[in-house]
Amino acid sequence: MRIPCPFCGERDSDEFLSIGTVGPARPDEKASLDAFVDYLHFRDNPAAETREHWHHVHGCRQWLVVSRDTRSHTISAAEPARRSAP
Amino acid sequence: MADLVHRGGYAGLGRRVGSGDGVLAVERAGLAAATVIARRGKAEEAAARLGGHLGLPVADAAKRAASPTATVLGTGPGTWLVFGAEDPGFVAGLAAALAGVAAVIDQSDGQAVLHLSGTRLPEVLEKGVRIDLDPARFTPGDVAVTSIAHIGVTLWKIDAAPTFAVALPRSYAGSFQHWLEASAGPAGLTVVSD
Ligand SMILES: [Zn+2]
Repeated sequence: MRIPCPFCGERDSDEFLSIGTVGPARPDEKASLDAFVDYLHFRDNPAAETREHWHHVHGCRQWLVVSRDTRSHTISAAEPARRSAP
Repeated sequence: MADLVHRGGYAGLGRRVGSGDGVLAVERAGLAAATVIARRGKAEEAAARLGGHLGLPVADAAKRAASPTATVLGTGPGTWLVFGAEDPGFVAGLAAALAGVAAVIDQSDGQAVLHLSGTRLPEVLEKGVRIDLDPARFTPGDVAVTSIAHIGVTLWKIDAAPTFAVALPRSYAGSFQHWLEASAGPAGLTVVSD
């Protein structure tokens, strides 16, 4: 799988660290334990296009938001995380 | 207190492997080096001030701008690796020129630089570099931050001969040379250092 880094160009996914799905938002500090367990441990695993955070750790060290289809690994977009909504 | 003397990362590692003819690696010792990291939202201003200070066309991109006395390499968004003549004032001068728009960190004791050339160089680089170095795709002035043999490197192309340069953390110089000797041995390799 290759990721088109906006700064470096197309690079092997080995150069990146996958951090996981964009979001979910951290619960309010007064939220229940269940809400924190859900936030920390549980993720959806959709057969669909997903938005994920990837870190170009062996390249420009930039955080990216990568749009990837989990069925085909087709990547339709990779943009700097600093420019996207959370 | 004893005076500290600069010692290049490849010091003592000069040698010939095989015919010695295919690849020439020459250490560029005694350079001043710094990373320049623009503060939030200041990448354009940092590029302009850095370029103005050194008299070079600096861009916020994976490109090299160079003069006989300085080399600026775009290594990430709003981030540059800068080399200059070994002069205690070089990094301080950068810091003064970029005050308020970028952080300037002295790397003079942290980087080891080799210039690589030779008729067999392209086929040797192919063994360790995973990006496309085809002459039509990676041209003089292009810069890539990537890894070779698990070592993080900054690689740039100086001319179409081709001549490349590679900078890496100096404590990895011996490990990098191990990869270079293993990869360039059949072609023949000469390493020149202090
Ligand atoms: Zn990158």
